[in-house]
Amino acid sequence: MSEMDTNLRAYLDDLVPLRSDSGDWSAVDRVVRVTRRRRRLAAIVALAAALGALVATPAFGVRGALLHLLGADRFPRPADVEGEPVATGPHIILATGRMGEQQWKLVANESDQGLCVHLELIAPQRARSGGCGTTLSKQGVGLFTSSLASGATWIFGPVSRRATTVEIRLADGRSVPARIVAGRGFGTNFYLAMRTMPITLTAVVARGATGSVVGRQDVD
Amino acid sequence: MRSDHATSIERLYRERFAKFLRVAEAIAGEHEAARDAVQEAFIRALRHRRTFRGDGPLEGWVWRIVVNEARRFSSPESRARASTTEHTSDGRVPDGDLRAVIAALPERQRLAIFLRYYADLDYAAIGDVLDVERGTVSAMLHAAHGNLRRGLEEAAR
Repeated sequence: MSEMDTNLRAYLDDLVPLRSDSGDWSAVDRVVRVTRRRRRLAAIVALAAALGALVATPAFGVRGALLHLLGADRFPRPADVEGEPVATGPHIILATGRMGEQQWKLVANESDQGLCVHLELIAPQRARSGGCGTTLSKQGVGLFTSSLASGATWIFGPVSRRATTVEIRLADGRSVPARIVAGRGFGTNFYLAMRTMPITLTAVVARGATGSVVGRQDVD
Repeated sequence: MRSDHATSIERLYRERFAKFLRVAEAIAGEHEAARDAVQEAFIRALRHRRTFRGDGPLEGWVWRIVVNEARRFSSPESRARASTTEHTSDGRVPDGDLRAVIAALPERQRLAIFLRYYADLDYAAIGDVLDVERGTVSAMLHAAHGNLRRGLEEAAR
């Protein structure tokens, strides 16, 4: 070692002395682990959000496939007739029953034209009535009817989830209560009333828990 | 299970922390800043260990990270303090003058001096850290010694 080296080393030793510091490896390790955990958590949250979006968006078809796996009705074929609603979600059976000999079921599904709700007569008569894209948001209640030749009538439609009662008002001044059917993931509930005799409707009125009107559809 | 690199990085930290700290302090100018720089450097090394390509020693790669972090932690205040001068009457070169002489060196010569004297790295290892050939390290240290000698002689007058 040269004299310069020796002198320089002495100077440098004075300038920055060697310290007996062994550091804190656990602090380094802790920061790295926490970061790794946060990254994993962020990745899981992002994945969950992506899956949620996939399932929540009917157009992706994932929700339908899942519901299909869980036993819901199959998707119908795309509409053969131009302008007909195309289902974007599975047909969900909301209620089934029998009026006399006639079997029926109340079915709803999402479509490219909005929410569809239909009453299907299964046997002995076969028929289907209802519609899509009801103006529930504006009026709080939608209205469809289905009748047999005998005059038996079903009154049904979507209704605000705030509704606790639905009343069918008839032209003769009477009113009949409708049954509220849970919406099963549609974001709305449904109602259904059945009459064995021909009827003339004047209005459907839905009320909330306090008795205030939350939906009304008048029949002109 | 932790990778071999993680284990090697931890071993480097445990065995050489004092040297990493000393070089970092020489670069950053402050002990606390140097300590933070070394901690941060090892956090980076551990996080990015998979980017180590293995085309040189792991220790050289870690030293490079420590040097870069110490440069990042170097405050303008510490750089200004390095250029101040002190006066003593005992014939020794004052610390302030030595700091100023070292601070006046070109950066790569200064780093080579720190790695040689504070980390005890050989020329090949210094070359790995500074990404230069061994012969270049030799030339850099030779030039640094000359500059220091002249600077210290002037400071002692």
